Amino acid sequence: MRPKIVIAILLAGLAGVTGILLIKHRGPPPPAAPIAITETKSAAPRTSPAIAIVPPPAPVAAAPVATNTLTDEQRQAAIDAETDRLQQWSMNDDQSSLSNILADLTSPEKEVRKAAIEAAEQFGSTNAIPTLKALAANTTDTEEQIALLEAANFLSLPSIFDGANSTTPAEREARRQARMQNRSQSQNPPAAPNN
Amino acid sequence: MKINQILMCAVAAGAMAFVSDQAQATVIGGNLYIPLNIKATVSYVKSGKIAKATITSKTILSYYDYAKGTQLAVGPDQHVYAIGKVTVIDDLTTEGYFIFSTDDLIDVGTMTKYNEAGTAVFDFYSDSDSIDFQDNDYAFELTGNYTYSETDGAVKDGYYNQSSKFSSSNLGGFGYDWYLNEGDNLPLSGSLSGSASGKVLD
Repeated sequence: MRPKIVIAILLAGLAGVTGILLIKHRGPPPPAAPIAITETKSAAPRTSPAIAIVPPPAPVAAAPVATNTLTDEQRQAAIDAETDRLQQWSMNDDQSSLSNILADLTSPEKEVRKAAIEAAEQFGSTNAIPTLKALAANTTDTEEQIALLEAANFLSLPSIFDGANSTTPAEREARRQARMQNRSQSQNPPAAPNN
Repeated sequence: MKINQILMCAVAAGAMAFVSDQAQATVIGGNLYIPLNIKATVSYVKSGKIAKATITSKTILSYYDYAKGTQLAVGPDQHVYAIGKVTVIDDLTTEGYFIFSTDDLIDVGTMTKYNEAGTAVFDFYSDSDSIDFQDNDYAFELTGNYTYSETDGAVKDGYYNQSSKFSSSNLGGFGYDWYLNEGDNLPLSGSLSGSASGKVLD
């Protein structure tokens, strides 16, 4: 074999071995994949450039515009739904229901505020009195001011049923039975004895 | 449509329970129930002075130990009911505790809006004895003018929204409270109101 051919074969072999070695020593995949997983799982706001091009949130002033797009029918339906909820809350006894009622005292809808005053009266907690008085002091609507103050006064009064708490159900039932017996006797007087 | 017609048959004829939470409270078994807000004040003599005590729908229901969340409502046949969110618990008129009646003196309406006004009477007898107030621990009668209005929305997919409101303020009457003043009736003033809405079948 000629020396030139031997050298060419050796160079070709060396190049091949070098290539194989380079491929074998490329190392693990880039850390991009784990980072991507971490970002996917994270609840924190993403800061990738792709997010940065999203338009900023609409200004707060845009909200009333959305409200104004309601039709009269939709607006009334929303008021009716809130009034229904107020009626239900007024029959509960929990703090959450009272908080919901008091929150509606400042509703932008007058009809809801009126229903909230009635709900506060039905709920029957003296804890509502300070809020009712504070709102009365701050409103310029005379009619509403009167309603708020009347509600506060109403809540400060005792219930007629407080009297029943001083007697047991058994005592009440005994009194009821006695009344029924008296009525029965007055309607059917005993026959006169035969002499 | 007159309030008594509404409550007696109109809704029963076709109204069905609606899908939303808000309607569940007022449309039960195809009938419309209007939750009632009773608010009354009774005057009595205490320690040489005139004092006042209150009556509400909630205190009446509490007196009978109904579960929290139970509502007093006017429903079919103008009876007064104790209702839960999806069920009618008791017919309190049939049981003799309440009588509610209206006499509409004027009314005006179109296909979508109806209004009427008249006089209303609302009686309560704690021991279901309507013959004599004083055969009950508590009893009262409130009378006065009322207004009723109803708005019906456009029909869509066979249903329409119905909104009903009943209002009766400046009511007067008398009451009896065995604990406060055994033997005498007491002056009473108050109001009665309620509203209901729901999607009903056309």
